[in-house]
Amino acid sequence: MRRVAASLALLSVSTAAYAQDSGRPVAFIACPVVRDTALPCWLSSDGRKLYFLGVQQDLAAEFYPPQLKHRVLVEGYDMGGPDICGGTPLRDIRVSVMPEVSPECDEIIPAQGFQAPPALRGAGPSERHGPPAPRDPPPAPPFVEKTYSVPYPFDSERLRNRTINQLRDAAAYAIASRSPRLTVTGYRAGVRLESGVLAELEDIASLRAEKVRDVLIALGVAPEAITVRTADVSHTATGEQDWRQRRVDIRIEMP
Amino acid sequence: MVGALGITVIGCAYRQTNGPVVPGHVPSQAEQARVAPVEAAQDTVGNDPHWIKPGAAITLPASAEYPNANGSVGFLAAGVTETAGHPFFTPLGENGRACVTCHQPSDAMSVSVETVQRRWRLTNGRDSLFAAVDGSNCPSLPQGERASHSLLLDHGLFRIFLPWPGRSADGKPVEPEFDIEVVRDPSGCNLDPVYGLKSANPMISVFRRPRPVGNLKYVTWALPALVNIKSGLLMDRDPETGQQVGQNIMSDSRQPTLRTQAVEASLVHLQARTAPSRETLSRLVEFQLGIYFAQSRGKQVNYTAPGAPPALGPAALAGGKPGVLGDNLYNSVFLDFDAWRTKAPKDKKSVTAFKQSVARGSDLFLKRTFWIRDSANLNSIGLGNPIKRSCATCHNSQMTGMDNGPGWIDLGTTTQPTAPDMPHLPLFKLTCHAKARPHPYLGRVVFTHDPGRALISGKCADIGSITLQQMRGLSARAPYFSNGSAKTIEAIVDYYDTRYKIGYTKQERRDLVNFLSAL
Ligand code: HEC
Ligand code: HEC
Repeated sequence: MRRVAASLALLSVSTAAYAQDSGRPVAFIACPVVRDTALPCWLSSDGRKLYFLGVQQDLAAEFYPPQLKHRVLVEGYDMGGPDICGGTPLRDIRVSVMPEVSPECDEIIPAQGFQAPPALRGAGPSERHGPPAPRDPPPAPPFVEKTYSVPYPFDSERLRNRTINQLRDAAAYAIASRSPRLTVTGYRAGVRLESGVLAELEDIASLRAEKVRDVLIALGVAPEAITVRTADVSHTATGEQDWRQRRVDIRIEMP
Repeated sequence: MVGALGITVIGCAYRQTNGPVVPGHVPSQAEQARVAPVEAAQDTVGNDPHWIKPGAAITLPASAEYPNANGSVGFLAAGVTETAGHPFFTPLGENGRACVTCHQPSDAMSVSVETVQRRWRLTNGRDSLFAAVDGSNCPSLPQGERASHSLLLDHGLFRIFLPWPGRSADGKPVEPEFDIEVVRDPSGCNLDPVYGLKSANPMISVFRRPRPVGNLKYVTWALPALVNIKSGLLMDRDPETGQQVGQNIMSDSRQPTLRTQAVEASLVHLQARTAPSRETLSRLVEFQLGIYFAQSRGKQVNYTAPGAPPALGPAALAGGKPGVLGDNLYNSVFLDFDAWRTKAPKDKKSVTAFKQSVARGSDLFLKRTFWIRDSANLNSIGLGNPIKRSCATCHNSQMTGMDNGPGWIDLGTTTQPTAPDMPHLPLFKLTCHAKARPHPYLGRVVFTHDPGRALISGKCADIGSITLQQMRGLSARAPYFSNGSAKTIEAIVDYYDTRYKIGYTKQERRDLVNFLSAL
């Protein structure tokens, strides 16, 4: 079972502890709201402030929008910048859709004169080819030990288009460098909220790691070179950049 | 493993034998098909000029047109076909049926409910179309009676029976994420002691329309993606060649290739005792890949005349390239309809009006946005719920309007509360296990007439997801959707209008209907 552990360390997450220019860390779970602008904007409120999360795009994009009928975990830094689409933008934002159904999350709000910021693709059919998602350059010597870190939303082991590209890069590097050993470590993380720490699903670390292993093998990495490990770091959540722990590390070792 | 039928189940073992290769659900299906009674069929043709009866010896031209209520449907084959002895036209099994029984050129390679009713009338219900195994509501019912075939006669539906729990490709049971309870069983087949869920060979029966057999280079095209965007798992592979497959064959994508599909069709629909030989399979597949169909005429308009919109008519499909993503304004799903936007000098007023209506309909399909919401395997794969998009978001593959990726989506056609009222269909209650992730919008308890992809994957997230079928030849093959719930093209549009609260005007509805009727 997951747990929400109330903790005294809670108070350490205070605004004052952070330099002004890096902003105030924010982590909360709430219903998302979608604004009926020509291109839809996604917003969510922690009860005190309405935040702007991002705009509708497609699967090539970095931002995957939330889902009505689900609560959303929002993490980022409030820089206090000017509102977008009626909400405060967050730097370094991460958005995770909580898996259980929450029927009460069902709000589409009117445009109210707001406009989505300019984006690659509008609503409806695309008008031009988008640029390719970022990729590493083809691997070239000298080869050194290297770790690829694949990020995930909370409670998810789903590979996004961009994370699949990362795995392609990692496999290409492992093959080109003739690495004798890859260690794939799946992590189970937690997130510190005001109410305490929420840990991810119990078996998420191995779900993540095994999927990555399967993909690496499909990409041509020798199965016997891969060692799979899991780690539970859910108790280390601080309330700041906890998303960094939701990951799979692929360490590519050299002979 | 090699079973009694000489079938090889997909898995590592298939490499060691020469038997045909099939996914793991097929041996149980074949076992039930062997149990179902076979009655002597009387495939008299009667006054039915376009019906091709199994075993017929005719010369099928390389190009043909068949009339329907909206004009006619065009059919192209790779060449002239002598049907005598040809495996697609020959009864390969016990019940007298051939593939052509349910995949008729006049019906856009499906079979319309109108044709089904005509066959019943002309043969007093003795056509092999009505074979007990899946042409009746359940094989245990008295076969001579109309009521025993009501799902086929009234709704154009065949019984599809699949083992439960499902089987993975290698024949091992899939550990399902949910339990199935039969809430209502008007056909009686899910509770039947021989054919049902509690029988010695446990089966779920659902009822589905025949998917059209043609334009298959598009249907079988394999997206060169590593990971299936619907399941998040690696893409399935062809068990014989190891090549990646597109996962768009059948309404639950249960068959990786046309070869494996033909084995299932022979053993189940045709009640063949053994699987077809490799050579027969190759002939079947080659023939099917040579077929193209599309509506070729409207009531007053020839869709293949010079200057007609470039996506219309079967030759356009024969010449097109598969796998082109068309959810865009630069190389759209059905190309462009510009030729019909302005009046041509010689056209009558009514002709111009129709052409312009179709062109507007194509715009509505491509560009008219609405909130697509609560549709699992579309909204849930990272696009967001809801997403403001158009029909072409799901129907994105050029020329067919299928999905370029693996195409199963829960449109709501088979799940409550969005499924139309269908008291004639079985109703199942699916309860997801505590450890499983729920269906993303319907939660942990779902009522459905057809679990769709979930019968194969065992996943709650796939409950109600049906693989998009191609949008061609619609005028020749009513009713629509895999459960036949839309009796007319109008009813398709109305379903969407209600489902997504689109609010089409009367004119828009007509335009969309005209557009769909011309495909
Ligand atoms: C009794 C009617 C019937 C007969 C006979 C029949 N089919 Fe079908 N066919 C169906 C139905 C129903 C489906 C859809 C099944 C589903 O979605 O689960 C289908 C689907 C298909 C498809 C999938 C098309 C797509 O786009 O997904 C192919 C290919 C096909 N049949 C080929 C054949 C071949 C080859 C034969 C002969 C060996 C055959 N069929 C005999 C009823 C029939
Ligand atoms: C959320 C994805 C989605 C959207 C959006 C969508 N469809 Fe579909 N469409 C499907 C699915 C899934 C099926 C198959 C459903 C079934 O058979 O039960 C389908 C089937 C169809 C069919 C084929 C019917 C047949 O039996 O051959 C037509 C025609 C169609 N849709 C038209 C449209 C039109 C017009 C629109 C826009 C108003 C639209 N669709 C929007 C997913 C979608």
